[in-house]
Amino acid sequence: MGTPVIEIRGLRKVYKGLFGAGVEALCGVDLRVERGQAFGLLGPNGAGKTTLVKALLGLVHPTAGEIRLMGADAGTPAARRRVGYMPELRNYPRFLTAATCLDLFGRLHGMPAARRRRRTEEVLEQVDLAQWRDHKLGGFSKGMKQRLALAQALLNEPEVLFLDEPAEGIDPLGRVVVRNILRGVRERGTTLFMNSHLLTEVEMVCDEVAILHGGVVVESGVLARLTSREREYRITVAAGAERVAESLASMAHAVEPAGAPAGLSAWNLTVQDREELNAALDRLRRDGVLIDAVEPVRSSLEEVFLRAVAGAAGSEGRESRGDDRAARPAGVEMGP
Amino acid sequence: MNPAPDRVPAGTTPGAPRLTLSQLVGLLVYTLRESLYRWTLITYVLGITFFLLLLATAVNLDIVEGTLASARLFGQDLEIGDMGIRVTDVVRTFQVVVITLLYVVGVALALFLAANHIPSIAREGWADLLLAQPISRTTLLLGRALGSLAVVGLGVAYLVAGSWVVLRWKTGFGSAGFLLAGLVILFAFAACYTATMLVGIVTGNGPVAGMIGLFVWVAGHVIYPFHRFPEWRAALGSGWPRQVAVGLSEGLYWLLPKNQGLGQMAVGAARGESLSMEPVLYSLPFMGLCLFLACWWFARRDY
Repeated sequence: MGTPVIEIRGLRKVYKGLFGAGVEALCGVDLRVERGQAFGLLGPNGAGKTTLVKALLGLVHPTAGEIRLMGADAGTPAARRRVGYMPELRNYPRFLTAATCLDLFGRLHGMPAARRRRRTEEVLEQVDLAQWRDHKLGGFSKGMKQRLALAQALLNEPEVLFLDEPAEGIDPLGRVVVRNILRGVRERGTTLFMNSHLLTEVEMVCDEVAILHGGVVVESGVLARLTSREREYRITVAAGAERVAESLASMAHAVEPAGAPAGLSAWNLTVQDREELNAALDRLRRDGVLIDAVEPVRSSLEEVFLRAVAGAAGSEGRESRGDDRAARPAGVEMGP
Repeated sequence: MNPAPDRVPAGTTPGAPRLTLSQLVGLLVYTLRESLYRWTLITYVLGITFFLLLLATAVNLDIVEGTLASARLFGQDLEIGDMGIRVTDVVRTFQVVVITLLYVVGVALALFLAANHIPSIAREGWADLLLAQPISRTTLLLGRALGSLAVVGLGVAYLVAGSWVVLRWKTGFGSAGFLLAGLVILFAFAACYTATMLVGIVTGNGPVAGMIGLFVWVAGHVIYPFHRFPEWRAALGSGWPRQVAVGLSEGLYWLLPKNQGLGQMAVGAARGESLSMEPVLYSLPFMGLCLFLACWWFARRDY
């Protein structure tokens, strides 16, 4: 395993009040993101997602813990040299045009004039704002500002791209544009760190996720693994459907009918292991059932999310009642 | 949708000094653009151009062998007689008037106009974007202050250099001291502006920051006679209240920029006198303290 692009150990952040009382936004988060991953950070409102991203970029100072960004201390300007950031809240000065705004950010990255000009044209073209390059930002719609924020984040050809609610406020067509850009960026090896409450967006872009709740990582891992239902498969048949239930009943499997496209029939089958699945398929073939497809049954990310958050809330409830066995889950280290 | 080109190799990224220079230039250009948008620069240029045109057209001087033979103001003859007024005195008097006006009105106006520059970079949704770039918070703050100084400096330079050119054209005499006076005025602005910066970054409120800058500007003048003249101190009453008042005024005098001294320095420069650098040197600790506190506060804040 190489050096992770993002490495967080024991991150705590307490926002202190005026008279000492504080709010603990992050309570000991451990996280690891490898190069080239598309990582999604999920969580309900107030879970600490934005605080975590801001801590990664040095915008908020951690109360405790360590954050490394491409091997450097995350709070330093050096760590941000190869980073792009698209924030959730964008409050652009009204007097800048799209081109002069990108020129400012290019200068802040130390980009030479020729490269600044070239990249400005390229990223404006990418986000479909080329025709608005000389228009003042005061007249931009929310969606246009959103796309400009993405252009700004891509300007320096970052190695890590942080996206805070990238699809917020964009219409469905705009989302497709953003999604395609992100896929293209990822294909070039850029690591994505996306923070969003739009689960479908995360599902379509990311391959690993962590779910944050109450400042704690309550679930994390490879998306495909998190959403797969253990030992549950969907069998779609093209002919002999009337014999399926009878064939499998004698094998004592849990079999439930499922929805299928017109002309086909489907069942959800729960088995002990792969051997049992193959035995069931052999039986079906022997009984003259024509199998069209076999696929693992997956939960939606929404189901995973709700389960994780509900589980965490249950743990907290038991914890508050003094049940030692139901301790708050610790942060989970991420790896490929 | 066009594919982006390959990433630039890490070795081509600029070194720290070049990066900092690029960032400072970026912030300077940004502040100039903002001033143009808000009509600050245009108002400066229009106002000063009007003054220079007035100076060029309303004042007509007739110089004969280095002395003023006749003078007309707005077409009206002035009584010169056989007073033997030297042209250098006439020019220096004009210069003193211009510098005094600029010092009293110009600095206060500039403090007010530049007050929002610092709070505006710290506002939510913009501060995040700026601070997520590879720039240190100190560079961001100082770059923005440099931009404010450049905007005010452009106004001062245009007025002082323009007046110098007009007077030189009208009289054939120009004094380098006049140009130096412009620099002193810019320094006086910078000294008070450090207080505006500090309050601006702490409160995030432009009007409050501007008022504090103006307070420092006025207080620096008001406190001077209490330090300089014993009779002013005597007027502060008697007993312990007097002791407290004298201690307070002396403390403020040494803490605040030496605005009175800087004004005298600017006028002295316009008159062509030799200058003492004391007001400049004694103002530096205040500037240093305000800058240090502003940078320290900015560095430790969460955004």
